[in-house]
Amino acid sequence: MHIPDGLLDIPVSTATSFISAGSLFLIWRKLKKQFTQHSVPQMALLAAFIFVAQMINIPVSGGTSGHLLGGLLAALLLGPFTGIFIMSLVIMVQALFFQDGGITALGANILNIAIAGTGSGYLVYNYLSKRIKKSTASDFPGMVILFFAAWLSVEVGAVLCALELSLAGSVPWKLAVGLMSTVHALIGFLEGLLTLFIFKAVRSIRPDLIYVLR
Amino acid sequence: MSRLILSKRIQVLILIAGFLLLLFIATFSSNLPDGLEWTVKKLGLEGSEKTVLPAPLADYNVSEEYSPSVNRILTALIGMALLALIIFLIFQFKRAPVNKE
Repeated sequence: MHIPDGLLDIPVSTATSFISAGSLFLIWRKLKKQFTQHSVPQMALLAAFIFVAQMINIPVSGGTSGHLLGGLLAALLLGPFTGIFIMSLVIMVQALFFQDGGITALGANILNIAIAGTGSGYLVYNYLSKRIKKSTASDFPGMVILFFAAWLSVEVGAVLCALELSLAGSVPWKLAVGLMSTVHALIGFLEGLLTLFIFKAVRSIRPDLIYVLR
Repeated sequence: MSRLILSKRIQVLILIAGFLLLLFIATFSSNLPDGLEWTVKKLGLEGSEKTVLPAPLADYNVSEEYSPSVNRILTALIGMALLALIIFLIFQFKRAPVNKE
């Protein structure tokens, strides 16, 4: 879902860059207050993991492939602000060193994947899981919510990406949103499964490291 | 919720094994277009992509001399090291707030 150079025009690139820079500035201020020295190795490990995981494209359906984005996973393990921050760093490294995502589209990619994708997934997970905890002690609904939030984090990023493409070019927004949301509904399914699997694996070994369980 | 009680050493070994497994799987990454590439093709925007600033390891390639698998493993290691370094540098001088009481 990393937009390359050439697909966005100057107004869309500029607007998304300003939104992302402003959001990251606010997140950085929050992060400075919450920061603990112990979280640095976890942040480095998770960023490294997400970087490699994003290199692994898995065939999905209809001649397309998808990979783990990892935004919700990062937010669940480290908290939403830290999650968005390290996702942004991953996207920056991918663009600057590996040309995976354009320099002019860096703001848009950070906005779609790190800020909106991760943020929306975390907000939905947080809201729904709090409601569920009040009504049941079973683990299953929580896992369904986690799966759904991970799926949603991909869909939100995909829809935003489609809207930016249609704003920048001459493609109809309905067509762009329809295509992007359809293909990413399948990729989101993969995201949900992988996020669920990794979350459960970490929870079974080191639940103390998981932000949402503290 | 059942928790596995494992020593620190075993936990580190599991972590290292996990990363090695990821690196191995990365060599089998699919070449099929991702969701955005597929959409761009369907929208007739294919060919609009251009390079504004060439990256040193563009398309996860260190050198044409190496096989695609070696290139992927090397770039994965470089990317992981870069991210870890950047995060440690950003937070190197940042200390957790000290409780003065």
